Amino acid sequence: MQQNNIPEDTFFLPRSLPNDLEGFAIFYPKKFPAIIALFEKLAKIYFKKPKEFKEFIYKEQKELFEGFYKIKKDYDKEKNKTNEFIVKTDERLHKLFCFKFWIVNYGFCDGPLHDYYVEKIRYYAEKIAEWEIIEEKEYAILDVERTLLQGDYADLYLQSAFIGIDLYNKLNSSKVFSNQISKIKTLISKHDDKSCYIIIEDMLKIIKTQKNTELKEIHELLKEPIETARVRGDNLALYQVIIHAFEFHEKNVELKQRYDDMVKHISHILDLGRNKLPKQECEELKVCYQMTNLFKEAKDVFGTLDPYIIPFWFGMLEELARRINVPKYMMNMGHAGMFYFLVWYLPAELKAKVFTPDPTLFDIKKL
Amino acid sequence: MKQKIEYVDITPHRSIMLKLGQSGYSISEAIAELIDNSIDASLPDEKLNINITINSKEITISDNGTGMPKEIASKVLKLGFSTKEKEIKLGKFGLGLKTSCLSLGKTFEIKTSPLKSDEEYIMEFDEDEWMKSGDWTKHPLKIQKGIGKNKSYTKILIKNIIVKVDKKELEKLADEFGLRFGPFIETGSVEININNEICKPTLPKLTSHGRKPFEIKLPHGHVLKGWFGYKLAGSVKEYYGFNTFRRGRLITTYDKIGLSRDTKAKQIVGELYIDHVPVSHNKRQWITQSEEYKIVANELTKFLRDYDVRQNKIVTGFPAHPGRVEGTARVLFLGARTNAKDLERIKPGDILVTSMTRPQYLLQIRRAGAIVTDMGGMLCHAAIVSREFNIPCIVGTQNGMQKIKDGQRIIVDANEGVVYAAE
Repeated sequence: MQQNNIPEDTFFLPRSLPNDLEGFAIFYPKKFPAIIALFEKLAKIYFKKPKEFKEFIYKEQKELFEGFYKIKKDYDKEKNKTNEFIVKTDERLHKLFCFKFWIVNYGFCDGPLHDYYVEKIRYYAEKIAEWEIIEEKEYAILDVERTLLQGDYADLYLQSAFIGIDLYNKLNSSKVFSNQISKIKTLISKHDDKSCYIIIEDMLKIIKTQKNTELKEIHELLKEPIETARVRGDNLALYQVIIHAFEFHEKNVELKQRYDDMVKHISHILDLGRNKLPKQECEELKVCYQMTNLFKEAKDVFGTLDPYIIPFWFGMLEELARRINVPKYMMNMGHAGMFYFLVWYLPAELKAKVFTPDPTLFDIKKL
Repeated sequence: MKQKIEYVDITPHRSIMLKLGQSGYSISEAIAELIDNSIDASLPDEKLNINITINSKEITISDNGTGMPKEIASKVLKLGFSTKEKEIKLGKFGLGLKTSCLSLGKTFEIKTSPLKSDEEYIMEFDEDEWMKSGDWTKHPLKIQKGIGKNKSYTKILIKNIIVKVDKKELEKLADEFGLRFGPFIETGSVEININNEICKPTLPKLTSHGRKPFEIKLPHGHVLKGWFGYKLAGSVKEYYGFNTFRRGRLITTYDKIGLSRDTKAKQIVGELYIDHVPVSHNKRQWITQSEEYKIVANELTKFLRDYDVRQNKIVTGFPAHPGRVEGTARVLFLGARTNAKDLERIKPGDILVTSMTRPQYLLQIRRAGAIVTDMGGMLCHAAIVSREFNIPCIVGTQNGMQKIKDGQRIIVDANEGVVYAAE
C-alpha cells in the first residue's frame, strides 16, 4: 500500500474525535506534548501493517494493565491519602491512559486513520459491488461497504450473544432451575423485568455454590458478568445477561448462522476485489479491511480495563470531591473529573500541578 | 405501367417460436407471467392454489383453476391467440405463455382439464423437434380419458432448463412474488407455494399516518384509484414509489409516476390502480408516451404536491445501519453506573437515544427499535452493534440527547441519518 498520495494530515494527532466525550484530544496534547510526535511516528509505522498493529495492540494492553496495577498498588499501600497524593495519582492515571489507552483506542480507532480506511472501503465498494437491476445498485454497494466494515471479528456484543446460546441451553435443560426458568419465560413475555430479577437472585445463590459440574459450567459462562457485578456492587449485569439469553434465544441462534454466513460473504467480497481490481488496489482494500477489523478488536481489548479502572478512578475523584466540597451536580464525573471540575476548587499549588505540562514520554518504570 | 399481384407464403419461420424465448424475461418475470395466467383462470369463490417446484432439471407450475376446454387447450401454442382480449383480464397479446416457457427451458408440456370433463388435454413442445419437423398446421394434441370430473387444473412442466436457479434466486422469487401478488395473497384468494414454502405478502411498513386512500377524477370519465403512505422501514433509497396495477395485476414496482426524482417525499409508497392506460406487450411497463399515461402522471403530481413534505428535522448524524423506524425516544446515558430503574424504561421498539452504547447493556440495545448516539463514527460500538443485530442506527449526532425529548415520538431515518419528530 503506497503512502505517496496519502494526505499528510492522516497521520496527525487528531484535534477532535467523535467518541471523545471528555475532550481528551484538547487536554492531552497540552498536558503530555510528547504524545503528538509519538502518535505521528506510530501512525506511520502501523499504517500499512495489520499484523504488526495487532501485536502492538496487545503489547500496549499488557503495559496498560501493568501500569494500572502499579498505580493501584501504590494507592492501596498509602495510608495517608492526602489531596496532593490523590492529585498525583490522578496525574499518573492520565499519563497511563493517554499513552497506553487513548492513543490507540481513540487516536487510531476514531481518528483520521479510521476515516481514511472507511473512505477507501467505500471507494472500493463502488468498484467491486455487483447488481442485476439498477434498483439494487445502491443496496449492493452498501452491502459490500457494511459487510467489510462489520468484519469477521466477533466483538464483545456478538460474543455475549453467542454465550447467551450456551447459557440458554444449559439453564433450559437444567432440572435444578426448571421451575424458575418456566417463570422467567412467562415474565419475559410480559416484559416484567423486575419480577425476573427476584427469581434470578435466587438462582444466583445456587449457581455461586458451584457444588456440581452443571453449576460449575453455568458459573463459568457467567464469569464476566459475575466480575462486573462484583465491581459494580449489584447484580444488574447478571440479570441482564440471563434475561437476554432467554428473550433473544431464537435470534441469537439465527445470529450465529448469519455470522457464519458473513464470514463466507466477506471472503466472496474479497474474491470480487481480486477479480476486479488491479493488484495494488486489491492489496489496499485488504489492508483497509484488516485495519478496520483490528480497530474493532482494539476497542474490546482496551475496554477490558474498564471494569477495574472506572470504579477505582471515579471512586478516588469522588473522595476528593467530598473533601473539597464541590457542588453536588459536579459529583457525576468521568475520567476527566480532575481537570474539568475539581481543579477549580483545589489550592493554587495543586491547581498548578494539574495544569503543568509533562513533556516526557511514557516509561512504565518511571510511572 | 401494369401492376401484377402475386400471393406469397408468409407463414412465419419456425424459428420465431424459439426467438420468443430470447425476449429477455428473467426467471421471476417468466414465472410471474404463468402465475398471472393461473390467476386469470381462478374459479369464482374458490381459493386458488398455485404450486411451483423449481430445481435444476425442471420447473412446474400447477393450479386448481378452471382448466382449459379442448378448443382453448388446442390453441395454447398458437401465436397471438388470447381468450382475454375482451375480458377484464391482464393478458391480451397471446404470447405470454409461450414466451415464458421458452425463456425457462427448451421443452415444455401443458396438461389441463376443465371442470366437469373426464378428459385431460396435453400439448407438448420440444425446440429440437420443432426445428426439425414442426408444422404450424398440425401440432399434436393428446387427449387422456378417464380423468375425475370433479376437479379442474392446469399444469405446466418445463424441462431442459436454460436458466440458473440457485438458493439466492429462489429467495428472491419468494420476495418478488410476495410483492407482486401481495394483494391477492393478502385477501386469501390465492396461495402460492414455491418448493413447498408459502409466499408471504410483502407489504411496506408505514408510519403511523397509515394508508391514505384516494380517488382522482380524470378527463374522459376515468377514475384513478389507489392509496399512499409514508414508508417507515427500508434499507434502499430507491425503493419508494407506487406498485401499479392493471386489471388487478401488478405491472410495475416502485414506479416513480407522479413523484419527481428530486421530490422531498422519497418515502412515499403506495398502490395505483390504472385500467385504461395501455401496457407494453410483455406487461412489464406502461406505454409512457401514451396520452393516457401522461394525464395520469400529471394529475397524480398535482394531487401529491400537498403531501410532498417531510416532518420536522430534529438532529442529523452518520447513518451507521439503514432502516426507518418510528418509536418513542428513551433518552438515557449508558454509563458504568446506570441503574436498573433507568434501564427498565426501555421497552421493546423504543428508540434508544444515548451518548454511546456499552456491551453490558446488550439487552436494552437489542430491545431498541433504533439507536441514536451523540458520539461515534462508522466503527464505534453503536455502529458495529447495530450492524450485527440489524438495528437501524444513527451515530455522531453531537446533541441528540439534548434535542430529543424523553418520551417524544420520533422517526429515525437511518438511511439518510436524520431524526424527525413524528408528530
